[in-house]
Amino acid sequence: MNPSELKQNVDTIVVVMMENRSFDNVLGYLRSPQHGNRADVEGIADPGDPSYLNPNSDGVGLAPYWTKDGPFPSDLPHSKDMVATQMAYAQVSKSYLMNGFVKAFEAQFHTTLDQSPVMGLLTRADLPTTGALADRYSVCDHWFACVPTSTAPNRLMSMCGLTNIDETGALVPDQPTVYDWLLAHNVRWRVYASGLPFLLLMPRLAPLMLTSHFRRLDQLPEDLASDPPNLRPQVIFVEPDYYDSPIHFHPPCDNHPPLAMAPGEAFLGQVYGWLTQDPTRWARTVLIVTYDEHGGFFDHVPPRPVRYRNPNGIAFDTTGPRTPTIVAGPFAPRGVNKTVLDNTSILQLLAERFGSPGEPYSAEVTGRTQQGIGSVSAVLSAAGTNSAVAGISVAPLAVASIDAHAPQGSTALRQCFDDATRAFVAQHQAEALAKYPELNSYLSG
Amino acid sequence: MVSRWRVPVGRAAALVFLLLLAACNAHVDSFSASSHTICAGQPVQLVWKVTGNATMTATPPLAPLAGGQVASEGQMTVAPSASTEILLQARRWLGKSESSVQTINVIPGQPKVEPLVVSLADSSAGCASGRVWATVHALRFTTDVKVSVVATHAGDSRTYDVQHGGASATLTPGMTVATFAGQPIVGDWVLSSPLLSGEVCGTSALPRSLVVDVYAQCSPEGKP
Repeated sequence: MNPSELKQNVDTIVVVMMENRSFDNVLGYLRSPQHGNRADVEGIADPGDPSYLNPNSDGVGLAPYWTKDGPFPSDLPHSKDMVATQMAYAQVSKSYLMNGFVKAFEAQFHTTLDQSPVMGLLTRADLPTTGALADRYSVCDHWFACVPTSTAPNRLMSMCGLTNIDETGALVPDQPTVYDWLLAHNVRWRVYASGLPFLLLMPRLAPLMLTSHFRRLDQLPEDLASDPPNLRPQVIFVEPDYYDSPIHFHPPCDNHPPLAMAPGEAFLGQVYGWLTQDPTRWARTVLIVTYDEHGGFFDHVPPRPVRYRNPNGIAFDTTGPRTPTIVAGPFAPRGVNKTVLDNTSILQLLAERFGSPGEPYSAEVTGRTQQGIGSVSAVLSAAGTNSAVAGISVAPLAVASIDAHAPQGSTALRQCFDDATRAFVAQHQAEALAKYPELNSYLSG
Repeated sequence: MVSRWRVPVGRAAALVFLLLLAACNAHVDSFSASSHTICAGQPVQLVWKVTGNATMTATPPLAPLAGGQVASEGQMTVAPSASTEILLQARRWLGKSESSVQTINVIPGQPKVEPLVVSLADSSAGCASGRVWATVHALRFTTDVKVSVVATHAGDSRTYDVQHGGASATLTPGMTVATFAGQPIVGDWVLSSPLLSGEVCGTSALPRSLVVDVYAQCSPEGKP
């Protein structure tokens, strides 16, 4: 779809960014004759293919395997160093071999298993929402994490088009965000967060969190039903309740290990159900369901050579591994799209739809475009004929069914969230607690 | 109006809280087993170090681990008669727990296939003169775990020259050889393979890894 077709046809762009899954882990099954039987998808035709074997530290090869959805004993390795081990660059072939996932897992957790959890492949049976969306809309099987490292840099790339950090570990630095871009371009936008919004980690944005741009997830269906057309948001970010958040308003549902996929599937199914409630509005909506990064799970497709440098010395030479991204809506043809994409492709789409003619999103994003990263618009068809709604049957996400104080495992990201939450309340006490009364009990706990 | 002190004090309190929480977290600093593949009843030395209180349990149960509690740093010898998972858990009051697992595989009566794999990202890998090669460092097999036969891996269309323990053999696709029968699996396996059509050194057209299937058994004669 070209920019003028976008402006003509698309009123609303909805972005849902989940956490930490690889393409093969979630959608690799699509290629398999017994699970998906879609030869057009770059997935796992046969887990026994010798090229997928990952040697463990004893020299024994572990193959990917079909598995059931379920929680994990822990997170999986996905720091910058570990991702480098996973992608396994070989001097002899000047290429990434994608066979260091088991070694990275064993090194980080002092654990040897006959079936390493990083090699698990889910099937359609455990993916009531993602599977239904994949059956109905555009599966993007060349959508990569922006950079080969962990959550925070990848989310910054996704929400800013650049990152001033290369690892997760502290509050994120002040950078121009997509929110700033949308404000500067007079685009109506909102964030509907199931828990605390991710960019609470950027202290500069805290006052913005207190505005009506940021709303609770539960308000989404009501707003969709009642907003007059001239006040409807043109861009909506829907955020899951993050596993690493210290406080939860819903069960955590971002698909980040050790979480199972089931809560995330319920969350996605609920959001999709709300968005498709009004056929007229849905007819002019693009929904992008994506992930920040692969989370340590095996993926067999090497990263793309996309060089990233910034003045702070942050340097990457490739994308990260693939993530399981689906573009949905009437403009997203049923099938698979092979365009090389990453989360900055969403920023390109926003610039095409809401910018002046020919205006790029930013110099950094243009730098990626010049290295082969396309726009989401390449997935869309102006015909807009894919109007049937996917049949999804999942139980709605429960509200506050877990203890808000329940420790969710101490990770670098969780400590960032905790720090940010306390700073947020310290700086904006009354307003912060009015908006998020749950923080009262968290902070006094 | 927000006090000028409120924010720094709040941040300091948060920092203290985080430091306290972090101090409470348990951690598995190291956990290893001397062997991961053994014959029934052979000794395996476990070595561990945790930050916090340690418990160790085996599935199925093993006598030395019946009590669960172990020192935060130590070593112990176990002798499983069946394949066993040994779980080490580190715990601390208020903090999160952490666990690691070592799997000890006991070779059953029938030969068990072990796909020995080396990634071409390994430092031993090379490519020149129409061949690609690399060395599998087969580790943590006890010396009583012997080779029965060696075969090509299902679905692999390569031919290999295999060297191990002073012997060598050529394996063509679908072939099984008894050349290494009776030798311990542990040690280096040098795999060398002619390039296939379209494969070029220094390009991504090369294979990702080299692999041969070694059938492991515990009979000293190593008969197939």
